[in-house]
Amino acid sequence: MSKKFYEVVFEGNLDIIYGMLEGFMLGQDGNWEWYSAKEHNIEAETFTEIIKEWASLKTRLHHIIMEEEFFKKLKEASEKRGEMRFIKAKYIKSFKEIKSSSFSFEARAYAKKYGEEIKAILSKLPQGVTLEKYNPSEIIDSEAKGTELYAPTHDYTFTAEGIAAGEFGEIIKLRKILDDHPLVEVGKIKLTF
Amino acid sequence: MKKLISLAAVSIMLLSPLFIKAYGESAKTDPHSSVKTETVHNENSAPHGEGEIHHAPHIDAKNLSLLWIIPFCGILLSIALFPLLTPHFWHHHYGKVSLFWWIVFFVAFSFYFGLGTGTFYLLEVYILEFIPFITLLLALFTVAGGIQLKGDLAGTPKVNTIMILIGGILASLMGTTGAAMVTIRPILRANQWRKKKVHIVVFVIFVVANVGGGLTPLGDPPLFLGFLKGVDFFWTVVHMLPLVAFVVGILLVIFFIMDTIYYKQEEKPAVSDNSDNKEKLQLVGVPNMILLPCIVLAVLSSSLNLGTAFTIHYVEVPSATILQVALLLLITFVSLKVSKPEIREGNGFNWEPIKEVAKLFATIFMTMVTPIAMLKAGADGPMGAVIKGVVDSSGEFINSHFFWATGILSSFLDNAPTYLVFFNTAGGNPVDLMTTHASTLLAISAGAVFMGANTYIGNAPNFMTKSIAEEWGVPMPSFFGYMFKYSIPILIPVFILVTYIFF
Repeated sequence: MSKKFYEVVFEGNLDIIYGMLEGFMLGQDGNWEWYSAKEHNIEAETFTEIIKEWASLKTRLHHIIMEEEFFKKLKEASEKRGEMRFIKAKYIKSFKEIKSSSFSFEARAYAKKYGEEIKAILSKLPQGVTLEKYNPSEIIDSEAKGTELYAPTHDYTFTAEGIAAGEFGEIIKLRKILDDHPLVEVGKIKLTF
Repeated sequence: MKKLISLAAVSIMLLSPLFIKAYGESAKTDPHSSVKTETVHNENSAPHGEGEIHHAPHIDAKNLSLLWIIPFCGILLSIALFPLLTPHFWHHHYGKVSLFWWIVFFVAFSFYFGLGTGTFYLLEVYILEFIPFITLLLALFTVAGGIQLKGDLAGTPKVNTIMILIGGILASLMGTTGAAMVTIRPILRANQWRKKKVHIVVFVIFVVANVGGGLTPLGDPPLFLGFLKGVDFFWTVVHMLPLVAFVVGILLVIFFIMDTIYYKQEEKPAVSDNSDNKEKLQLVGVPNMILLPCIVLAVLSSSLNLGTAFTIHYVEVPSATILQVALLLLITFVSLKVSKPEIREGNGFNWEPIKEVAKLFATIFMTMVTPIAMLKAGADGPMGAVIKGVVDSSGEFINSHFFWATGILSSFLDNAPTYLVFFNTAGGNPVDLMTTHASTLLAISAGAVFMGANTYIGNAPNFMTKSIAEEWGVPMPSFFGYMFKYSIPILIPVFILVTYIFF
């Protein structure tokens, strides 16, 4: 059974929110996953929020992606506890269950070794993740082998682009693996609610 | 088919003088050609490798149409744009494109000025300029290919800075192409474990493939062309030293800071350099290292006054030029004989770069005849606007304009012909340029050598370095990415500083 995730919008000081999440996990002895949208390149901010941030010159709204169990326990606890000095129930501005997520990628390699590496990553997709519009291409031009000064071309060119889509928990891990490969450019994760 | 076309091209190039010789005299008196027969007696302005030319046909460029620069611009723009727009087409057909511009120029030139004049320029350009030029590049490239930088190194900021510095020094001894070829692979090997390494390759392009070559005429083709035109070998060394040291110094400091920041961001630990079996950083290929000073001597031999070996269609070929070419070919041959094959293999050595230079520069040198003649025609000539742009109201040269004009053009067109264009814009007299207008020549030299680093197309080794790095898995930036992320923010402020301090 795959994990469900929620996008939760917190309002307040980022460090306090992070401290609250870490502290709650310590107190509950939980081992849940949570991700800050900004730090993990997740497209979450709305246009209005961006304008508000520009106008106020500070970021007060923070989008955090949390495991369902973590979010529900935190929400319940903060509602029960009521107002505290730093942590307030109203910190949670809104929340939405994530139905699916996706990100685009582009790869370009000029040596077979690297082309094979990228193909290997994309051929072993985690369960629940699929590739859309995936169009890998390999061009081998044996006459282009060697070092050139004015007319450089590569004897091997691998290109690929596509969209990986699926469950958020797996998508964020796959994005990290692809992002760690220097020859793959990945886009932001888009969430569907 | 390909061989037939090449054969036809070579035949046209080689047979045309013989064919034309028979008709040379009649063409010289062609009433509609703008040909003058001149006697050249100026001993002081006689360049290395150029003998005195008596009653040689010369074109009068004062009233020439600007259309005559089309083939020159055509070949330069082809070199600049084709690799970016259609790299595979260019890779397979650059020789034919070059031949096309050559034929366009030579047929039009010989038709308009007469076959005799065409032959004169053909022989003058190829015997006195192109052959010494290409044999020097051949010798440097062959010798450099037999030297290897070796060592098991961890790509730390200190090691990387030292390797780039070594490459920068080598650039002035073996040419930027050879130095980039020798340096890039060990640097890439040492940094293979690192995720952020694009900046390292970029600084190899800045220092090794460009600025480092500014110290001697061996370092970069523009300076060798200056040498062929009469600029003293050691004038370049002495005058360029402060500039090259200043720019390389600043670039290495910037690199060290940048590399330290990126190094600290690496998630993986550095590959240990404490292993007992590690190989120390060293240059291998001693016989070829000995051949490097021999190249310097061979080049200097062209300054000897050994008289004229022979005269062909008004072109007097100095014995010193023949000596230089013979010595360079001998050095190439010896280098091939004494080099260890594994060193050449390790450097990825092949003849393709020299073939490219030969095919493209054969056309550049020929098509350059008319623009240079126009520049020599002075402020009243067809290219007077170029000259007026670099002189003030009292007619004095503005050195900073020379630096930037040469530099900006060298950023997008090949820097060797660009250097010659501005060398001639400044009068083209090497004696005057080394003395009265020394700062102007310095500005032209620095602009041509340094600003080749501004774009991938500014200097030939830039593309080679980029291409090798890509094959090693480095995600090199695009043409504009390189400019906007690296060359504009890093190099341009350094060049502004150079302008204020030196010009």
